[in-house]
Amino acid sequence: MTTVTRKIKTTKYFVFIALLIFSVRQVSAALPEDITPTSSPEQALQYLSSIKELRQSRWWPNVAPDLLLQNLKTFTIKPLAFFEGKTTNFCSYSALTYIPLTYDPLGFARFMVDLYRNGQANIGKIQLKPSKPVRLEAGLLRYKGSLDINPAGQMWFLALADHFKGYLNFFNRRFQKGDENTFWASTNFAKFNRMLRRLFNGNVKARGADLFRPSVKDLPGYLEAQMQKGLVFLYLNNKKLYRKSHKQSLISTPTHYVLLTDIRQLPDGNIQFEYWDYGARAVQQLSPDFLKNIIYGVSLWIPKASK
Amino acid sequence: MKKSIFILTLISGLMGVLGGCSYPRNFTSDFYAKNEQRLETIKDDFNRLYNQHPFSILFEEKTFTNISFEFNEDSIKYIYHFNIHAPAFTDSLKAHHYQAQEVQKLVENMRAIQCTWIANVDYYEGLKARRLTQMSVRNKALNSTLKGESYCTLVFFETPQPFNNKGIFLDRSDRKRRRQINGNVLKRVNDKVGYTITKKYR
Repeated sequence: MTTVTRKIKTTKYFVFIALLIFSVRQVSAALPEDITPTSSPEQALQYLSSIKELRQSRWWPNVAPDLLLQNLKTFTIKPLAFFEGKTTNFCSYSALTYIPLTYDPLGFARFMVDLYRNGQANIGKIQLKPSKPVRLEAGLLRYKGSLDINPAGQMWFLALADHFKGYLNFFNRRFQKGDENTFWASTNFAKFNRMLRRLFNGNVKARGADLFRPSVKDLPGYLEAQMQKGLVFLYLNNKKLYRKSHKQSLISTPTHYVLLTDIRQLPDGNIQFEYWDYGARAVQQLSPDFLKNIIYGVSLWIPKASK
Repeated sequence: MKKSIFILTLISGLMGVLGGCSYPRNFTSDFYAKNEQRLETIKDDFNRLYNQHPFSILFEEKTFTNISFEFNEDSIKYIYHFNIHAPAFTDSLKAHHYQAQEVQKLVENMRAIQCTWIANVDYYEGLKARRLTQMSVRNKALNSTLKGESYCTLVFFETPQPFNNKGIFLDRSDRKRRRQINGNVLKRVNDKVGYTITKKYR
């Protein structure tokens, strides 16, 4: 009986390690070779497993401690499954979460546990201290797909949207129920770059704007070159990338952020465009003109340590 | 006298405009009753093929000749755009190990009923993951001169859903909440099928 239990435990251990190696290998596809992560997923898991008892936080009454720890472990093992939720305006926060989940998973896990315990925590150059309505809402968001069972993700998204403000949030600055789908949570290009600069230890180079596309002659070539230097985030027109109605919109604006994971020219002249959004990697074959038409902003993040 | 004629004309004109803005009240129940067998066949065929190899289908244009086919692999989704009559579509289906003939038959059935999108969507009851089939249909009755085009999104649940006296689906895990799909409240067609009329098909 004991041998059987031990065998099961050993098998579980091997499966877990294999899963971890596989997920890390997948993630490293988007990280340039000279970028060395600050901490590893193993360290993050070790830290999370060392927390024997996490009490129910009085700051986050609707986030159960067990589920929070389970969520944080899932982030570490499957960072690419991190999902912004359906119909929300959390895509920018989700895209930039790729950085802490892959570059410093231990730092992110520690930050989230601090935020849960104390209702405030430091990350990068800032202190996040979410307002009461936001703290009360975390854990209650529903009909958002897997974000429903991810209160840790809800905490993180709501805290970021509550702290960082841009001109798009001018008329709706205070959170009210349902604001995760409104301008309260939306992110203009300058705000996105500001978040990258203040949250993570790295340099940011950005091209493009909210209403004007970057003037780059060979955009696919440029993006490919940028990917060699660091992580590349794109600000693009989601209505064109994912058609949602047959109506042709007269005004073209960017509304979505993705992480570029691969780009290359195909023999037929089209571009193989691989990116990460909505909790999965996606591949589309697009014409160079279409790609140029949908991309409004390119943000390059280079970690400082790699210099 | 002239004044009252003018007011009457104005009121009737206004009512005409307002009438033109809305869709027939019983559209979905009538449409579903008329096409129940076809809709159920599409849903069943889709689910049978989906269980073998996940995917979703989207008709990108009103002409119903170009589709966006999403091949869902383990950790990646391939979103490819095809003309349904071009050999590239069949070749890609075969290359990704789909039953090409069956999928093409499904595409034809969708086209016949002007179904613009079909996909399986995850939802949660408490912490339990469940799946529903979502299907959007285009119909002339839903077009309006002023408002433009609307789509009827039909949602097929696996189990009967609770609903209130207004026929609005409720959340099984919290019956005070009205169940939503893409931010829209779901109304009842029958115990397992709900609908919503939206400006977007997904």
